[in-house]
Amino acid sequence: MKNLVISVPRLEIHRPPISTAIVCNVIKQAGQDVQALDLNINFLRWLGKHSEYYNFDQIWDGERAITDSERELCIKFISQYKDKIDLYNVIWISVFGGSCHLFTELLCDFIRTHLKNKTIILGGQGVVTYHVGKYAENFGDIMKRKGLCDIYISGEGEETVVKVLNEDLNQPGVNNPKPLQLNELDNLPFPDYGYYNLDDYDYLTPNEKEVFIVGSRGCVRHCTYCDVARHWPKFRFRSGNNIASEMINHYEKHGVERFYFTDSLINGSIKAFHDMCTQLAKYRNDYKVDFRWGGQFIFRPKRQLPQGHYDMVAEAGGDTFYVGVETGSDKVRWEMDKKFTNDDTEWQLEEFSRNKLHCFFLMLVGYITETKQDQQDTLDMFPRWKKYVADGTIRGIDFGVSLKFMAHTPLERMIDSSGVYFLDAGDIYNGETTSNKDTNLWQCTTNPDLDVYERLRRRVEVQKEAIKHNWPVWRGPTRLKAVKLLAMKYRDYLADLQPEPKLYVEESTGYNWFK
Amino acid sequence: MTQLHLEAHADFCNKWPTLMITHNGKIIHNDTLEDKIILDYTLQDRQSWEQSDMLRDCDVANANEIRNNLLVGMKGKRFGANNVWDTVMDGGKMVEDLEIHLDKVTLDDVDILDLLLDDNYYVEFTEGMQDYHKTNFKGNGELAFNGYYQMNYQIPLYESLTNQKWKKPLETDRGYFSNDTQVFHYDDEMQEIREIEEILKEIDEKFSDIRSKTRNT
Repeated sequence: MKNLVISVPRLEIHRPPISTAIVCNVIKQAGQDVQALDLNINFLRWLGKHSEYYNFDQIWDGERAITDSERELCIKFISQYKDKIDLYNVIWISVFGGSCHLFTELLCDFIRTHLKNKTIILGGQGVVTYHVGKYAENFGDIMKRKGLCDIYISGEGEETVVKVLNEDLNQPGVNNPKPLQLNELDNLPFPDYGYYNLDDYDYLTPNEKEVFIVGSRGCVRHCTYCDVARHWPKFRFRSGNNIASEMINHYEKHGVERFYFTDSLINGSIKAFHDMCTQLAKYRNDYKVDFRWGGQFIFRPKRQLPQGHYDMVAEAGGDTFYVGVETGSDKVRWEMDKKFTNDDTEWQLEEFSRNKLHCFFLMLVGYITETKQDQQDTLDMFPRWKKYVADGTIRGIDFGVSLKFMAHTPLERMIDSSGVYFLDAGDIYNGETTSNKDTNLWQCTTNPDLDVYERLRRRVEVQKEAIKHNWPVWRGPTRLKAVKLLAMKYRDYLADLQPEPKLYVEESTGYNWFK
Repeated sequence: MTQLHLEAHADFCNKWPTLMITHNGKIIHNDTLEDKIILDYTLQDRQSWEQSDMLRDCDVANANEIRNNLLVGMKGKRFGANNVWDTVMDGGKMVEDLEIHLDKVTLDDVDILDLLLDDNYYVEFTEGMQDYHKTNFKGNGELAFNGYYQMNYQIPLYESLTNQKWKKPLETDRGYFSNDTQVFHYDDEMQEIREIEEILKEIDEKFSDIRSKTRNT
């Protein structure tokens, strides 16, 4: 069988996709022909400008419907690959998330319409995406029902792909959303980036090739708003030596010196993280390689870390880390199950500063239990830590939009106990208006002061305070555009509840009044 | 008030050099530097932005009035006056030279050596130097001629240093997820904030009763 593994928009453009690089290697090791096709990066190159590529974000993110001309543009782009796709029997499409749904649908529809005898297999987290409270069908089910795919794979693909190649379809995770989680990650094949032209990518620093690394799956934390545990119920991690070996392999094969970890937390296992740093530091010194790497990271209580921990991270090439600080309130952060305090953060900022490491703060304004004092604690964070902005330790802060209830999260399970209710303002999903509740528009009886209005007000207030202290706000205008859309939805919702003025006829005068 | 911390070391030639530091034109240090030195000074800064009602970027006409200036320099090196050279050559090779090397300079714990070096090193003409000697050049932290490095800052300090060290000219056609030139440019954000605040104001004015009802039911 000849296999073609396709990545579709919207993915990140700064590194080659890892999921398809893994699947390609798995198929190759199973003894079959395989090639990769990255339609995401090709779409960027075909459109020519970043701005044109990013214009599609609103569509991929379901913020508005695709227009006819945009749909035609996508199909025109896809149709260029008709002959290439026709060379293969089995078409594997990686559906990274909800932002890949529409393009996947267009691509599958094109293949079904124009090409014969193709087996279409969908995989990736995006195939099992649901909406809160709507669990009858996921994206994979919908695509199967529409006849747009033959098989979908949920969960980790390394073992399941082999079973599908052997036509052993009666498996957990094949055409069902209940995969088995892999326990032993060290035995899995490395992603093979040889299937891509690594010069095609829009690297963060020009001419510095960068690839993704998976060090672990799942998370040691169970933050209440996060749905990672749904995809990976257990935290599984590779040994530090295994991860370092892969990085060295990519350097020796492709000259790659920059790495970004896809892990929920790069330092979920302190031991594995420490072992990896030790080996990388030695290789860096022995071979004078300028490894630099980063990823999502958790600040830990000081007592959990060995002395000199961050010196070792710096020696190993650790560079930039994305930390879910979420709030300036210890109370709220604790209720989120984050398990670290502002004092822990400050100690870590000082260590980062001393070792010239960098971090981004990821924030979440308007948590379900947030009070006015908690909001004040968040506002106080900006003057308190602006020194670390000035010295370059804090490189960015992303405020997101606001707390949204996601399916299969601890927070979702707290809906009843917290008295959460959703304001029925409708939602736009892949261009089709549905009757789903908008899970952004929630309020709760246990914290009635924090209604939608107050959350919007606090969200704006926090960003203004960050600007006042000259913090490096990332994606500021784009995030605020989404906040504005939320505000407009909320306003329209309230307007719809406004009683319609009725016509009254005043008997004494005969005049008509609207009242 | 701002804390200046400076670490430097010197090279001997006939004598030790003199390190001079001025702040807003006033000499705060003027002494011989023997081998190594660690200095800490509390600087009395000029008025803050808030006090003077200035805009963040200080792009207004009287910005100079609130600018603070720090100057770190060397003096006393001789270039042949009275037949004395504080440089010793042997066969075309320099074997001794009177110099100061800046190792670390911080304001309130934030490194400013990069900002001092961003600007040129300004050479003060000294008797014995050639007339055509360059009067300024890009330095790397050493003070090998009589002269100085300097930098300006404003209060609030951290905001000012942040802009000087990290703010870049805005580039528009770059990846949205990774456009690091967008940070510290707040115009678009402020526009969005104004629009959101307008919507909130409208909700306040028109729908506050209904808002209360949705909250209380």
